[in-house]
Order: sequence, then C-alpha cells, then structure tokens
Amino acid sequence: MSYCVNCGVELDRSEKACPLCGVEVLNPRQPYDDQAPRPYPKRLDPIYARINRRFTAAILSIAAAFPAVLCLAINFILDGGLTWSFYVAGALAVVWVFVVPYFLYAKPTILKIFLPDVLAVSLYLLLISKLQADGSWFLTLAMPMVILTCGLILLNIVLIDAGTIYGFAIPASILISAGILTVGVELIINLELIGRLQLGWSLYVLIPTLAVAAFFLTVARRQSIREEIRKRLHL
Amino acid sequence: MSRHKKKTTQPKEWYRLDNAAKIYPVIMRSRHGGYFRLAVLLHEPVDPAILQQALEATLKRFPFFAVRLRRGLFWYYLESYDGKPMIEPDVQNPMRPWTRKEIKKYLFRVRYDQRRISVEFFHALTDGNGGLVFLKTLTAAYLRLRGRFCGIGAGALDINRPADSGEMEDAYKRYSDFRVVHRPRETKAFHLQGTIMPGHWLQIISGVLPLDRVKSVARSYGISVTEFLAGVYLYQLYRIQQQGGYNTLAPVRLSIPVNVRRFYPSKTLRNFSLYVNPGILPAFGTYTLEEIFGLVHHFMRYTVNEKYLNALMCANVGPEQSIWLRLAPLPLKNMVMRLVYHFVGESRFTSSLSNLGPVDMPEGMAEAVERFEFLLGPSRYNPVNCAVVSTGNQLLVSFSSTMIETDAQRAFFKELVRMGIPVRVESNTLYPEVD
Ligand SMILES: [Zn+2]
Repeated sequence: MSYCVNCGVELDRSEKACPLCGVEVLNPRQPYDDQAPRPYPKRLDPIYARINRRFTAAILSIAAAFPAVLCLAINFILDGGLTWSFYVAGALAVVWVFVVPYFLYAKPTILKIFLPDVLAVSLYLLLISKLQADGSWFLTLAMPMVILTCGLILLNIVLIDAGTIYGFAIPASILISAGILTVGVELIINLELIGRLQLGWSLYVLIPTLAVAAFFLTVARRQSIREEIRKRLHL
Repeated sequence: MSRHKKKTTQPKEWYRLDNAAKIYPVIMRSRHGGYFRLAVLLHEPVDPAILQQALEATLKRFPFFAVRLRRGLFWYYLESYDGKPMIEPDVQNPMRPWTRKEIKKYLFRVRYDQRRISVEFFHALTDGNGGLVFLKTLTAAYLRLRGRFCGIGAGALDINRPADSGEMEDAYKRYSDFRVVHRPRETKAFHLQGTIMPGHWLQIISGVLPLDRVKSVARSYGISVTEFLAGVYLYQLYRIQQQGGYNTLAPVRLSIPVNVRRFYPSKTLRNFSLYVNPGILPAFGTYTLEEIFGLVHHFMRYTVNEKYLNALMCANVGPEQSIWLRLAPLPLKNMVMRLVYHFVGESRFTSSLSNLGPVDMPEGMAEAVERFEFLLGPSRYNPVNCAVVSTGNQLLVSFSSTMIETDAQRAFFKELVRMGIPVRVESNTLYPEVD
C-alpha cells in the first residue's frame, strides 16, 4: 500500500503518481508495477474531431468553388473569353482564404490565420489592377494602404494577445491605431493625387481619437498614478 | 414464409423522447451531450463471446433501448433498430462523444475489459436508474450463460418475459398533475475554470471509501450520505472560489438528481429524474462546513418530496405542451432550446453530484460482483462532475473532468482523509511508457 505524501490518500497499485497532485510514488517496499490491473485499459478510443473539421472545410471549399467555376464558364460561353468572371472568382478565393484555414489547423494561431488573409487581399488587388488598363494605382495606392492597415491590426493583435496591452488600454490602442490609419490613408491619397505629403481632413479624425484614447489611458493608469502620488507625498 | 415477409414490411416501432430526454439531442451537437457510464467489476475475467450472447438476449427484453435517434419535422424521435448490437473492448478514454454515424446505430456502448463490463449510455435513452436495470439484467444474463446461478428481481429483469408497456412510458407526462408550477429562481452560479484537456479527453479520478465509515461520520452531523458528500464538495468548491481569483460573490451550487420513481408507482425505464440544486450564497457572508451541512440537509428536506418535485416536473412538462413550441420546426426548436439551456440549464450550478445509492442485487449476483461503478460524461459549462455509487461496503466516488487541474477533486478527497475516512484513489491517467 502506497500513500501520497502530499494528499494522504492511498494510491491504487496501477497509479505511478498521485492523480490528484502529480507527486510520484516512491515506495521502496512496493515499487510501481506496470502490470498491475488498471481500472481503464491502455487502449485508446480514437477521436474524430479533426476529421469533422476537415469535412466542414471540404464542404466550404465546394460551396465556394461551384459559383466561381459557374461564373468562369458563363463568362467564357457568352463573351468568348474571361473578363468579369475574374472579379467573382477572385473575391470567392479571398473569402475562402479568410474562412477555411480556421478549420484546417488544429491549433489556429493569429499568424497562421492572419498572414494568408493579407496575402489574399493583396493578390486580389493585384488581379484587379492587372485587369484594368491603367493598374499603376496598385503600387502607389493599394499596397501602401494594405500594408499600413494590416500592420496596425497585426500590431494590436500581437500586443493584446501577449498581454502587453490590457484592460482600458485596449480601446485606447485601437483608437490611436484608427487615428494613425486615417492620417496614413490621407497622406497616401494626397501623394498620389497632388504629389506631395499634405494633411487636411484626417486631423479632424485624429484629434478626437487621440483625446478619447487619452481618457482611456488615464483610466487605465489611474491605479499607478495613485500609487505614485502616495509614494512621493506620504507623511 | 408469409410470417417472414410480414416482418420485413411491418412499419418500424418508434417512440417519442421523454420530457427530460428532449434536451440531449440538442446539446449533443456541442459534443458535450449527456452521457453516463455504468460498469460492473466481476471477480472473474469476462468472456467476450458469452457477453456478446448475453447482450443480444438482453436487448430483446429492452425493445425501447434497441433504438436509434432520428429527426422528425417537429421533434427528434427514437426509431427501433434491428442491427446487431456489438460489444467492444474498453478504453482508457471512455465516453468519447457519439459521432453522427454512431447516433444512427445504438445509443449505448457495451464494453469489456478483463473483469469489467461497462455500458455507456446516451441520456436521451434513460437515466442512471434505468441504465442500472439494463446493466443488472445484462450481468445476470451473462452470469447465467456462464453457468452460474443468478436470480431475477432487485432490478434485474427476466429476459424470457416480454417488455411491459409501462417500462417505456413518459412518466413525467403521466404524473405531472399541474396543481402548481414551480420554477426555482436561480442566478448564474460560480464555474470552475482551467485548461481544457486536449482531444476530448475525460479525466477520471475515483476514490474508494468504506461506506460504514462515511455513514458514521455523516450520522455524527445528523445528515445522510448524499448530503454529507454534497456538503464536503460544496465547501471545497466554495474555498476554491474564495482563494482562486474568481468572483467571490457568485453562488456555489450543486445539481443533485433525484430518482422520482421513489414517489410514483411508475415502472418506466426511461428518464424519470428531477434535479434539485442546493447551494450557498457567498455574498451573504462566510460559511463553515457545519453550516453548509445544515443548509444542504434542510434544502434536501424541503425539496425532495412528492409535492415539491411534482411542481418542478410541471415546470418542465408545461412548455413542451405549448402549441407554439410544438408547431415550431425542429431547427428553430433547437435554437430556442439551446438558448434556454444556456441561460437556465447548466449555468445555474457549479457541478453535478449524482448518487445512485447502494446497488441491490438479485440472489447469486453479489457472490460474482466486486463492485458497481458510475461515471458522468462531460458537460458544456461545468468541467468537473461527480458520480457516486456503492456496492456492499465500498462507496465509489468518481470525478470526471474535462480540465487538467485537479484542485476540486484533491480538496474533496483531502477533506475526507482529514475527517478520518480512508480514501483509495485510482484514475485513467495516461502514464508515458518507460522502457
Ligand atoms: Zn497527492
């Protein structure tokens, strides 16, 4: 008979360690016996969770592929070539990239899910720009905006996920990012249209977001401000 | 020849789900639907071929268990199924969620391992007491086929007699008399949190206790064994809540099923249990173990009686009879029921504690049986649940948990040891192979 020194319970012969606390049994008179009758045999029942997720992914893929192929076919039959159907097929492909990876990974992480999305959006924009006569906007307008937006989103996700930003600092961070995004978008547009960096309407967005963000940050820091005052002014 | 032909063209027998069973197919989709497992540990090794034979013979006596789950336009229903019921070897991770394919076969699994016969039930079929009748009948049939003497009675049915229609009645519907409808007003309870076990693994930790010792300690507080175990468990959950960084004001509540067959002359082998939820309100102040014993004891006295239970039953049966709910198509009903379950079901209690009590056996069975075992399946919101059953002087308390942390189980058994009750612990822990 072995007892757990930590819990005081007697352990069945089949237990190598205490199931309650994990402390291993060290009884020199009765060492752990791998052959002792166990309440549950070693055979494992397979779990089908992954298969079901794959099945869902397959169904979604078919649901997305069907209208895409249909559009390509109609486009080809009616117009004798592929023109507008590329927009439909491309959009469906983007949706597919947004939805399906979630079902394929057993442990979806932010990077595994988010980076393919960024890539898909960029490729779709590239596709549109190639379909048009003048597609120069892709490099000067589309890509800077995609990089800026996705960079800000990624930064927020990573910081919140890591716990660097928490509580009331989360809305503050999101607001500041929104402000920066607006300014960035205006700069990119102005650079394209009038050829120089100039700020106008985006300031009206930036200032309120910064003001509200400052409020959230103050609330988030209230505890530490109070501590600071007490530390420096205590009697 | 004509008889054979007639048999194949006969419409299949079908059964409505009983009132309590209606929720289980709905919550099944979250892979946490109600399952439970009953097992019997024999003195001699199990012979699989004879067990297979015994199962086929036993199932003929339980036509309402030989069913599969089907979808109707308005409700799920059980349709009789004549495929061959197969026994399977037991596993280390029991009560794996039923897959869609399995639902179309039997709603129970009979498993064997060395000296153990176990049956995992889908709750839509029956409750713990109905399941126990099935297991005892199966065990008796098995023992008789092994050439041992085993009588009938004490919950083991005679497999040579036809099924009684009273055994398949919806007793809730039959006995709720609508004198008064009572729906207890309960707020959201405290819930344990932890790291979910990967791969739908259900962690099982059981403690074997001497029943006489438990009884005498319970008696020293003037309470029953169930009340004693519930009190100790509640107290430990309460202490975890107060120390573990949880909301320290949320009520700590247990859900305890009551076998309503005790109060009505029903022979039903389908669900006929109701749940009472004793608990404490930490917002009212600090509780001692003795105070909790008193609260649980008086709560059980107040609720476990025919009048109170009938009022509870009416609250459950009432909505089912509303013409609007009945006319709603099944997918809509599922949505409504899932919402209701989310808000007033499991969220109202912290854990379940189900005590089947002492198992009585027919003549000749006790000599062949070491003990009975009882386990609850995983549930959606409450990671840890507790099932209790006793055989002779062996009281078996089994915790099944979907999370890695064992704080509640450890605190519970440690408290019993502190009270002078010896505990022997066994589990389904996966130890890495050493070479
Ligand atoms: Zn221990």
